[in-house]
Amino acid sequence: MTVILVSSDNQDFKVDKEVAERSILIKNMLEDVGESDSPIPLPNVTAAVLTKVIEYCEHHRNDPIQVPEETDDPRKRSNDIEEWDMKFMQVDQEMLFEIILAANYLDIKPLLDVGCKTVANIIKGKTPEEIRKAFNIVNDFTPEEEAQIKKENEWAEDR
Amino acid sequence: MSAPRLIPAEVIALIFTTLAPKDLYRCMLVSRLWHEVAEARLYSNVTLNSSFQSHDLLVQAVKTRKCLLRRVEWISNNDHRVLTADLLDILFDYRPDEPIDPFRFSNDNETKTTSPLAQLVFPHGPDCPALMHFSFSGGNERWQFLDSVLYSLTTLTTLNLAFPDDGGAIERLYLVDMERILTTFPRLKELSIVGWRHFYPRKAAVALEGRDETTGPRVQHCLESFTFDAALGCSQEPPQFGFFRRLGNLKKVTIMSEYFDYENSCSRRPWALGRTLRQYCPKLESIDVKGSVEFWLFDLPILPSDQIRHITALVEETLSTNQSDFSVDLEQEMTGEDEARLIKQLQEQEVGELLKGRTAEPFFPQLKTLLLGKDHWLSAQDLLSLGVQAQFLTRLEVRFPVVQSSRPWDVYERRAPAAAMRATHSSIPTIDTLVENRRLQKRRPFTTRDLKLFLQLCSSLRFLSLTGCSFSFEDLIDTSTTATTGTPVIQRWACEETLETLDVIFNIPATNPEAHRLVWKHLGRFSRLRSLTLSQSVLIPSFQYGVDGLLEGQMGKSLEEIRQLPEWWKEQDRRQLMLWFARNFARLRILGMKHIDDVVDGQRRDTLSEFLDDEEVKQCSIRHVFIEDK
Repeated sequence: MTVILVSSDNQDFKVDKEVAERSILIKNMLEDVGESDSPIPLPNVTAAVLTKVIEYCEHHRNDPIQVPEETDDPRKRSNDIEEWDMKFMQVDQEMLFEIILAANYLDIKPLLDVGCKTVANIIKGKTPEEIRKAFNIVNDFTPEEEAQIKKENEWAEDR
Repeated sequence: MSAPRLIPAEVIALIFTTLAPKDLYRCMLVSRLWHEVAEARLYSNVTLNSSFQSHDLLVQAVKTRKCLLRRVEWISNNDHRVLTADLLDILFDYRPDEPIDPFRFSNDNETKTTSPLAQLVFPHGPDCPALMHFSFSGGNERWQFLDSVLYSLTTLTTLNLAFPDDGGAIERLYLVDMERILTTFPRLKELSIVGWRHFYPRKAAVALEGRDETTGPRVQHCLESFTFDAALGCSQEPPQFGFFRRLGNLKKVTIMSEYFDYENSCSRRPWALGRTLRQYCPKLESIDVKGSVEFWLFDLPILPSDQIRHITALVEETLSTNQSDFSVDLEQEMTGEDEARLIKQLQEQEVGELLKGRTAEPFFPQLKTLLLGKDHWLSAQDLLSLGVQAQFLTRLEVRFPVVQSSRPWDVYERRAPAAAMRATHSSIPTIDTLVENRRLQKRRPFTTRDLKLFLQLCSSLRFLSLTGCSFSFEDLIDTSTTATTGTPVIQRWACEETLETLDVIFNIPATNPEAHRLVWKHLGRFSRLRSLTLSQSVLIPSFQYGVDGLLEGQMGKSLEEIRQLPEWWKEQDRRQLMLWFARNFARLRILGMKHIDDVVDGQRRDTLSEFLDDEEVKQCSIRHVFIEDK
């Protein structure tokens, strides 16, 4: 059975129900709507991002749904990102954050996790200036404020 | 581009969850928004250990950010005077004018009065969420102070107490008062008390037992996870389990065995723990037994005398086939053969009854996870009952062999002392002994045959790790089908559709390639397997021995890792095999194998580096290959 998803820029995407239901938001919508065939509007997601999200869900369509208490398997708890996922996340930064926002909105936990881990990996080991450069963030602190923050929190450098 | 500014704070918080304090600190300097989120994350989980570098700076910083605290870990060491004042300030906003002397806090255990700090339960104002997680680890602290602090934090949902052995004086042990803990922390969900240096009061337990008989149904505590030491109930004194009656919501237990007095408990009551949990904690889903703990899953009932007549008849029958002129006398000794045969028959009978579920009372209906550590005493009866009754069992780990010494298996119910004495003190097995054993249904260690039966029954398994025993070819064969068709067929396991992780040991002699072929085919039947470990197996991964049987079912689509292939590599096979794996198992990313240097022309050649430098090997989809040196 297929469902039709409509992006914010009015593009239609036909996907298998099983794939679409990787998104808990869509799953709940489908349950509420019942047998109806009407397309599902996703006003917060553009076509480009939706394409990527659908690609992810297609690839992971057979993954078991993670139930919190059953991910007790120590091997599953590793912080490694799968090979395919790593390649999938090699996009420009704007798209990376758009995917994260979309995964958050659509409630696709595994995709959200992978996205956040990817960004966290970019952050790890960088100095504040390097981080700002990597994400194009403007420094809105005064030098005094910066000095104050450093003074109070420097203990964390050792941990 | 200003993408990060559009991201809501909760998503930034998610990104920060895997960052270490060092990185969080750097994020705090990036921008105001990042500062706010990173600071909350950094100060929500604080470890106070006065021997850490820059500990004072941390304490200063925490004092002005008490509202952010969600989790505090206090690691105690010798410098407690300094930390005492800090703790009181951080946790309770208590800054007395004179320095606090931890000795002045009286021991409240007996009188159960509230500590002087109790009135400061919401020290930071009603808008500030109270502390939820608290951990303490140490041995040299003044217990009165710990108790005063501890019992004032009534809002806790998680509490971890650890009393490791630090070589200090043996008299200063911490007294754990379970009743008080349950009463003081009504919202507690997770409790863990481990370590060597603690003990449980005995007087309180006796009083409790008496009280329980008379009062009505108790209000159930919401505790869901409990880690404790098995010594909690194994001594000779009246059972100390009174408080378990309130733990009806318990879902997960972890049983340790570090308690110092464990070995000295002379008269053990191994059934007590299992029985208590069975009776009071029906919602139990996960049991993790770490270390040498006598935990009886299953209580064997004593057969009443009218049920043992068929056993006596069986004994008579066995004897009469051998006897010709002597009259059958139950008291006489049997020959070794007879005895062995009879024991076998009695066991078969017992297995039959267990499989029909007749002798088993229902136990742990919700059980999903069972993990057994070293020196466990899983009996055959336990295993079979588990197979019959545990419909939700998804994870079973028996990583160590079962204890074989006779002592634990000879312990009987306390109610049958006479029989116990007779049975255990006689070194010559008489028929009387055997009948008594059967009546008392003595537990016996499980064998691979029992495992085979279990695997035919248990259809819900997802994670299985059975490295405590090894399967020989005979253990795997389906005897009835083999008998009728003449060719050996491997018994099917009930969990073939569901199993995702498998770690077993097969022991198949190299002289029988057909057997290897069959075993690889059997492995191929697991259609959803993601992880396979065969590290200690004697099973040859080679095409001549049928390793392509792995592709029999759907495993080609699901297998993600082979933690360890069994040993045996010829150099040319290794490369070929690895490429075959890469081509046929789309998701395989991890392959582990043992390395043996090859001997060519009488000399050892290091073929390993050649193998790793091979272009095709480097290009294939298997990302992590780890090689263990022999």
